[in-house]
Amino acid sequence: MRKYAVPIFIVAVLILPFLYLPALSAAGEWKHPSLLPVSWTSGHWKRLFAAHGGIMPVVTVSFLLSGIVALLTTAAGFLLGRLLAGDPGRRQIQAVGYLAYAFSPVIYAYCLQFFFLKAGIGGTFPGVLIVQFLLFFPFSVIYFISYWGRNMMALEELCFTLGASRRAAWMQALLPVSAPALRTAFFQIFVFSWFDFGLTQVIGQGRVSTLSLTVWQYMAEGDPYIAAAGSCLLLLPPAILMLMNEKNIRFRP
Amino acid sequence: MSGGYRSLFYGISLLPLLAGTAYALAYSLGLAGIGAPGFTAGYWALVLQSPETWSSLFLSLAVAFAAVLLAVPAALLPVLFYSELLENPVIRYLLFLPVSVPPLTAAFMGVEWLGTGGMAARFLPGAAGVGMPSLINHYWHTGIIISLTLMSIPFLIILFWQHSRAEKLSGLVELARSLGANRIQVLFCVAVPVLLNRALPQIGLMFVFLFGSYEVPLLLGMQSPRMISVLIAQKFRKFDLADIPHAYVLTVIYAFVVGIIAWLVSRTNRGAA
Repeated sequence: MRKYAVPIFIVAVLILPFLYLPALSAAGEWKHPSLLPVSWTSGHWKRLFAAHGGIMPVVTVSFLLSGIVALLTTAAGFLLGRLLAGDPGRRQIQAVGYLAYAFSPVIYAYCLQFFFLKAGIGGTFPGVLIVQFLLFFPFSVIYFISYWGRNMMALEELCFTLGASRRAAWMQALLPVSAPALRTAFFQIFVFSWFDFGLTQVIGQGRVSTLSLTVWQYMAEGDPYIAAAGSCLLLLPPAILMLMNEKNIRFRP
Repeated sequence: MSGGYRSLFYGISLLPLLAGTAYALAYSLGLAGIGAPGFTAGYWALVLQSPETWSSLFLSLAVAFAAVLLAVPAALLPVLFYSELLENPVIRYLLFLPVSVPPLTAAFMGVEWLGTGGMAARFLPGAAGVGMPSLINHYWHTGIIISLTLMSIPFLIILFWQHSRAEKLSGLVELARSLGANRIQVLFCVAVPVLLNRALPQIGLMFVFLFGSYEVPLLLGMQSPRMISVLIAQKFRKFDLADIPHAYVLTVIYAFVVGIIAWLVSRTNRGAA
C-alpha cells in the first residue's frame, strides 16, 4: 500500500469533485470547521427541480444542443477528414485547426458577436448551435484526418476492388468499421458542448439557458448547496460516456 | 479536387476567426461600429499605454506557464513509475474520470476548498487555528494556478500514457537498462525526453488553452490584474460604450499572441495528435 501512496494521493485529489459535490448537495449544514456535514437533507435537490420552473427544461435544452452539435460536427468531420486524408497540405491544415480550437471560446464569441447579431441569430438556439459547430469543427476534422490513415484508405480500395458500389462500401464496410471512432468523436464533442460556458454566454445573450449557465447563476447567487446539486448534473453525462468510452479517450487540454 | 475541400475546411475553421479579428481591428481603429469616429490610433495608444494591459498579459502568460510547469511532472509521475497501475481498467477509469470535470465545476471546487475556512483549511492540521490564507483572490493567484494545474493533470496523464504505448516505452527502457544505463540515466536520458518530445505540440496547445482560460480566473481571480479573457469579457460587458473599442484592441492583441504561440507550436509539430 505504501508503495502506492503517491498515485493514491493524486487519484484522491483528482476525483475529489465526484465525492465532495454529491455530499455538499445533500448536506443540511456544512460550515467551518466541520469536516463532514452536520445533517443530511434532500431539500436542495427538491429546490433544484422546483425553483424557477425547475432544472429539467434547462437540462433538455442542453441535451438537445450538445446532441445536435455533436452529431453535425462528427458527421462533417468524418466526411471532410476522408476527403482531406491524402491532402499534401495536411500539416498546414492541422496547424490552422489547432489554432482555431485553442482560441479562447469567450473571446471567439465576442469576435463573432457582431456577425451573429447582423444575421439575426444572436440570442437564439440556432445561433448558439452554429457558433459551437464553428469552434468544434476543426477538432473533428483533425481527429478524422489522422483516423483516415493508410489502413482505412486501403480498406476502401479493397471494397472497390472486390466490386462493391460506393454505397455498399460505405454502408457495409467503412461505416461499421468506423463505429468506435465515430462514437469517440461524438462523445468528445458532446462533452465540449456540454461544458461550454463562454460561447453560450455571449452568443446566447442570456436567452438560451443551458445547464452550465444555470449552474453559474447558482454559484453567483452564493448558494453553494444548489450549485453543488447542479454541478452533479453537469458531471453525470460525461462520466457515464467516459465509462462507455474509456479506451478511446482523446486528448484535449 | 482536394483544393476545393481544403478551401471548405479553411472557410469554416479560419474564415470566421479572421473575419472576427478583422472586424475587431476595424473597430479598434475607429472604422466600424455604431458612431465610429473614423480612423484613429487613439484607442490603441490608450490601451498600449495602460499598465492594465501589460499586467494582464504578463499574468496570463505566467499563470499558464506555472500550471504547465507543475502539471507536467505530476502527470509524468504515474506514467513513468506506476505504469503497471495504468494497466488496471478501474484505476485507469479513476485517473481518466477527472477529464469530465468542466472548468466551471473546477472553479467552484476552488472556491469551496481554497478559501479561508474552506475545506482545505479544515483538513490541514493547525491551519484552522492559524487561519490559512485565502488562496482565492490571492496576490500570487495561487488558487487559479492550483485549479488549472489540477484540471490539466488528467489530460496530460492520458496523453503521456498514450505516447508511452505508441513509443513502446517499456521496451526502450529495458533496452537502455540492458545496455548498462542506470535508473537515473534511463529516466532522464530516455523516458522523459521521449515522452516530452512526443507531447510537445500538445503541451504547447495546453499552454494556449490555459493562457485564455476564463471560468477559473472569473471565479477565483481578483479585480486587478485580471487574466486576459476575463479582462476582455468584462470590458465588453460594461455598459460604458467607451470601453468597447478598448475591448476590441485587446482582442486583436490576444489573437496576435495566440497566433505567435500557435506558430511556434506548429514548428514543433513532429508528433501530431
